[in-house]
Amino acid sequence: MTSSARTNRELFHEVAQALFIDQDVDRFAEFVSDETYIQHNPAIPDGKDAALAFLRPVMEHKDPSALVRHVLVDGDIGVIHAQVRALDGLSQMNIIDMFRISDGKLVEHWDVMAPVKAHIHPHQA
Amino acid sequence: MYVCEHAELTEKNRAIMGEVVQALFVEHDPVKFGSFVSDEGYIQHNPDIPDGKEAIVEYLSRLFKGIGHLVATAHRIVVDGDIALTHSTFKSRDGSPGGFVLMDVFRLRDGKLVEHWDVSQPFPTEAANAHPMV
Repeated sequence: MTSSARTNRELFHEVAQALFIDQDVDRFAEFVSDETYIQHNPAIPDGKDAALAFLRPVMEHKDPSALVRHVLVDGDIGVIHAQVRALDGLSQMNIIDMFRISDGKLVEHWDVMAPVKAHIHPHQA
Repeated sequence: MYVCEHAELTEKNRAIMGEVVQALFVEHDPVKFGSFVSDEGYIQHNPDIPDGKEAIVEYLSRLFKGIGHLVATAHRIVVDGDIALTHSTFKSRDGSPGGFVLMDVFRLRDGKLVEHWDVSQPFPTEAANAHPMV
């Protein structure tokens, strides 16, 4: 493993900590590039300011149910697979966030999210 | 939180995932996909599908028959130790609206798929940015 991959792993675990465990928007903001933040979530415009403007109300009230299932780091890509409270405050969402890291900053973001559905068997989603 | 740091395992599993993606998203071959699934247990987190290899092969056989109007594209594979993610899209063949973006997460053990999660989301009708979802 290259030293840059190690660095990205250390960095990305701090990103996961900020977003899903501490749920601290200002801490997350420190990891986002000021110059470039290519946004693939269709609800959010490009750029750091737009991402933070979207996240602030979402993360205003901490979600004690937030659960991080997986954190993957593969070269310049980091992935967080999590389950969080939906915006209605009642149901749960499965979410996978993927980021590209460049020079120690997050510069691109993709995600998918979907409501947790009732299960035909006992595993959690 | 799950952490894994094994470069050798990552590269072994990356090679396997290349074949898994070919079977799933290119050839749409449920039996070939099944050849990568463990016989000793396949923990299924998709609530529509029972556990086990037999159930996923049967489910995919039905699914692939029903999605002839969609074109599947695998856009990237991310691998970290024993966990792998595929990022894919299913788009209308005729260019009409609809379709969805999908991320699948697999756990591998001894070169076989042993656990699966997925999250999918329909394409939006409009977007606040100029980029596709993948």
